[in-house]
Amino acid sequence: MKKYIFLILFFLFSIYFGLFFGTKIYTIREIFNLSEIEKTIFLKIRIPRVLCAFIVGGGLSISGAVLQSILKNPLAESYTLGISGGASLGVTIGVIIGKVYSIPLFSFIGSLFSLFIILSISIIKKLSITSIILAGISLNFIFSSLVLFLISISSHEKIYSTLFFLFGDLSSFSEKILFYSGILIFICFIFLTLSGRIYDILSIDEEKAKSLGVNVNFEKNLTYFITCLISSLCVCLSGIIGFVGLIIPHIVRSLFTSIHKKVIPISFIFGGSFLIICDTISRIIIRPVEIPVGVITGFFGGIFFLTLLLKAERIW
Amino acid sequence: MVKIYEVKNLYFSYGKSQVLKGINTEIFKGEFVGIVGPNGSGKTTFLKILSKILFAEKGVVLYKGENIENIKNIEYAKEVGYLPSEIKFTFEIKVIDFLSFGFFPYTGRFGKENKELIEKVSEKLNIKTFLDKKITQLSEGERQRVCIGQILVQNPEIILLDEPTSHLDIGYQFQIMDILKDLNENGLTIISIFHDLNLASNYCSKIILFKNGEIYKQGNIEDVLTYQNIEEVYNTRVLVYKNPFTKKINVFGIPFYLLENKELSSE
Repeated sequence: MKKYIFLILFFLFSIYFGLFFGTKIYTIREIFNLSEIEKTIFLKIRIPRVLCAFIVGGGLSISGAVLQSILKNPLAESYTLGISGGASLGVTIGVIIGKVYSIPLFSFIGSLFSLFIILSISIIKKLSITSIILAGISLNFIFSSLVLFLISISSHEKIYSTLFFLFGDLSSFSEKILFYSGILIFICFIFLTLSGRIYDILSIDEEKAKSLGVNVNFEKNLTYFITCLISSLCVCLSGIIGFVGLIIPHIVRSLFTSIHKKVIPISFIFGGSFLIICDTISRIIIRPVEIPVGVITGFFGGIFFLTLLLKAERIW
Repeated sequence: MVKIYEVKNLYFSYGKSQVLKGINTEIFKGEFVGIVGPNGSGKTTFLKILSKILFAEKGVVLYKGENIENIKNIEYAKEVGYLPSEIKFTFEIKVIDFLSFGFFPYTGRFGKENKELIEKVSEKLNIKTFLDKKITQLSEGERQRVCIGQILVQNPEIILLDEPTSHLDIGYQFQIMDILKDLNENGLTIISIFHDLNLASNYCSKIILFKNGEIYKQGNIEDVLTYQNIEEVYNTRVLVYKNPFTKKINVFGIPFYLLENKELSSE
């Protein structure tokens, strides 16, 4: 029970921290006496940004949780599998081509393309799960190089903003994309939570899962499809943010439970809150300059993960 | 007797390696079938085909008269439970949560679970005291009881087991085998792979002896577990005799160095 109270307090704190802290720090009293400009900034910039951070953090976390389950590997997430890298290449192409609404589509195609390469290699070469992760990380580097190459040769005026995508950034998302992405990610979240028992079974043994009547190939492909969708939407909103999808499910399994009908919703809330806090720190740490949120998640996430690895007897 | 499985001319290969070469057998309701044979003789592959994890390359497996490949996995799982030789747990889950996996064939993705059955099964297998423990905290013997419990929650008619006692000490071996015997006497058909020929002899009603992807011999224990058959299949020397206490066939392997030194004869 205490753990769940902690979760609620962590969530409430993140909302407070994200809304009231930034380039300008507000007190609760000041919120009710804002000037028109400040009100606009608060309503049009700060609230959507907190919402965006929550959706991206939650989305990346649940993607990581289910990918770790189907691949039976605690290092699996959309970043380490190269899905985010493929999505970022798609976004860059989308930006060059132009239309805002085409960007999520290109991002999704990019993530599917990346997944297709990884799965094809793993099937043809019969790679182990660890080798799949290594191939995914290699693919990420290749996609990042391609993104940099496209940025270098492009004369498009918006292209320089995509440079931040490589580091993860929550300052330049489109509100239209946020609205539709939020709805889609929320639907995926509900579906994955309700499918929790499938991920419990898939996480133990594929043969056992088959003998229980689980259609293993269908469930794995469906999960890849959903995680590609979530990851590509997250990349559209914030660029590549590593570590969140890796570390949040790990913490949730260590602190709460390994049963997925709980792991998925807790990861969503915990991951969303975590990214709000990281984003807020990225805004205030060297005010008024903002640093990409990926720098914060990578730094703190990495330290935290290493600490856990050194302390824990087992991974979970 | 009701015929559960009818296997006709079954072939299977992993790439170029032909693992099963024309298997023919029949298994009837209520039998306790022991599958024995050397490593790599095709036992596990055969069991995986019976459990619908693998599919025949050639030939057919009929389950209650119907081609096994035409039966939906989820429907088959309501009647047949399978326990692999080893289950690797990626995450630490509680025993009660693992047991509830057995409900899946009935609930599917969204359905509601009937927790009362877990109570009954855990009482029957004496695992009630560790329902809230994490499965990785259990001893091998306790874990194996839990794995059998998970299959019982599935409420099957047939249980397929791949070396259910391979990691267990002698005490746990008999404990697990007694549980299986009791289940068999209560109507469950059991098909299990054994490396220990004596366990197979003590508990099974029928033995299928594999050699190089073929069935070398099948039938009742006295007919199959003879020293000639065992020596031929396992390429070793053995002493086979009827235990005067249990009245069951016992098999003793004779180490080659003793054979050379003391000129023992299998007869």
